Amino acid sequence: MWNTFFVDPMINALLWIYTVAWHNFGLAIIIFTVLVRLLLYPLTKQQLEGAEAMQKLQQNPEWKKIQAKYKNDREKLAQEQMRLYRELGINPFASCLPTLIQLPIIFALYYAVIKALAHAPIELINLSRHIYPFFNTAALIPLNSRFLWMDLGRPEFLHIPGIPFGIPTLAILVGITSYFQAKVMTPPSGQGQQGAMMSQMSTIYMPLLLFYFTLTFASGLGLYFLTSNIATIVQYAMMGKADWKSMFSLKS
Amino acid sequence: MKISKRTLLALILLSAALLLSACSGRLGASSWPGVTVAKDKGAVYVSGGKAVFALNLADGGIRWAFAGAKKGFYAPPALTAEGDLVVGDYGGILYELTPQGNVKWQFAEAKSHYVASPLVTKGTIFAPNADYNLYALSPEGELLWKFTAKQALWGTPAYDGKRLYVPSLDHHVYALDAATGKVEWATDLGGAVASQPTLVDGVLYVGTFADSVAALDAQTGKVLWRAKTTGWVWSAPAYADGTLFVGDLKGAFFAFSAKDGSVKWRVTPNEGGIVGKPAVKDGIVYFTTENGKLAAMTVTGKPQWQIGVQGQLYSPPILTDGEILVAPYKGDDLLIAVSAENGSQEWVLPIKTAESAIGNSKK
Repeated sequence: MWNTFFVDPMINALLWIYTVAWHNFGLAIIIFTVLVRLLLYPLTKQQLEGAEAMQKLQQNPEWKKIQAKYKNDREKLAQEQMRLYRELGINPFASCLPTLIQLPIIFALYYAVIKALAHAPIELINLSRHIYPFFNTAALIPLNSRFLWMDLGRPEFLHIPGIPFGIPTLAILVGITSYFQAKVMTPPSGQGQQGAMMSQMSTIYMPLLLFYFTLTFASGLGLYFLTSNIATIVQYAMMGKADWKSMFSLKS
Repeated sequence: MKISKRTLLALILLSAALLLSACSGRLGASSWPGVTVAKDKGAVYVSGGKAVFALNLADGGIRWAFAGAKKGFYAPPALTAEGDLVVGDYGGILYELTPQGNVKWQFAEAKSHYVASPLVTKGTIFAPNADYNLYALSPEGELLWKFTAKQALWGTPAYDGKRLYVPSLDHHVYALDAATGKVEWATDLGGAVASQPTLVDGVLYVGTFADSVAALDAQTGKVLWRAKTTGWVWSAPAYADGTLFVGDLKGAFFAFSAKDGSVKWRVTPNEGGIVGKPAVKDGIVYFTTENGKLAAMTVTGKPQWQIGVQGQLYSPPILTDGEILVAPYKGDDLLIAVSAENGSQEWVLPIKTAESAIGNSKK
């Protein structure tokens, strides 16, 4: 079911874009990622609004009051918080529900990119089973996995004459954009200690994790990360929510 | 509060997504083992996963294991006249090993993986690589020339003593002068060609991803006929007495007339795709299926016997004297030997036994 409803449509959409994007798989990944981000725009917006409502709530005097009053009674604090949510008509999950809905789509996207790249025999056999019959698979397969200087099915290293080792440019770019993306998404104000720790996790560990993945796995995936990061930053900027100041500040 | 919840969720779930993707994104994870028999030495060589194994043909006992490669092996080893093994790994390194499993030389110029075994001729080794190149090497492993196609090379070239016939995923079969690598002709077959063409009496029989088998005049590259199948044809057809036997990825098995490509008979066992090249001997044709079945039929299409093994059978059945060897993918066993007469099991080499041999292996 997972394949039928999520992965297969994604793979075929990716292949369709590939056929119209001059048989350039790198370009197909970029266009595809941007399209998916656009489709998810209403969810991203909702997520942001939910997050904003929650942030505003933290400035609410009554909220501050119950925080102080019940700081030693967690159970009571939770009850009071729920009461306040109800009274103000705030859904505390408004900010995370859209994230949850997005996840299957993001999962499927990862799979689609990896499956379509089909770098080895079994992967290619499996891919043949996921392609819809209206495609002329004979003409389509194998996909041209070369993009700029990269083979999208392999980790990327840029070899510059005179330098004895390859430079993982894509992994570095993914790391940097992930850092900026995390910065844009998590403005540093009013989070409390726990929040600060979490945002530190996302600004330090996520870029490192994505750097590592891009370094190790097919560069097609790295290209997806890079496009996705840039798309998120642009999306936030377009909604006027990007916190440019915090983006370039080193404090998390 | 707000940030912690959202960030935590995103972090945990995104990490999970990444980890999941990592499982299938790892390089070189997906191919089946390769099997080569050296009858004169009473040996069978299996390249699979991390190592190349040398076994006794008689009982499957392990003689040695070579586990010196970083990425592991999938392409079957090719044998030289001296009985050395030439085998490429998934990291793009080609090795020549002595019959005792010691490295004679290695060639590390290829940039991608070896899916097919090299072609070893008197004086030259031709090694197709997924980096689009065919490397022609001296017997000492020095590069003589290379030919670059437009896509990966996953099949061993066919050879008639003068020319090489190189199958490519770029939809072409190329005829090259074996001495220089000069292209003599190239024929576009409209779909990828993933395996070694079968060369019989000046005609090349080729399986293609364009759901067909094609017959080409080896002299000119002209297509003599094309026969439709129901799905991609991974292997080239096996030839015996004017008949071609081949299966496709949709699971149909065909007998075509070699003369004009007309269908003599066909069966659809419904046991998954047929990837490995069938084997024919003494009026019986043997083929393997993705669902782990090994089937024997008469060349006229009468079923003889069928057995099932654990795992999937993508590698072709390998005929020895009275036995058939099959190497499952994702099974418990590395190699299984069965009787050619009735399919009863003769011996088996469990993966666990093979893995424990890697511990005492040559590195």
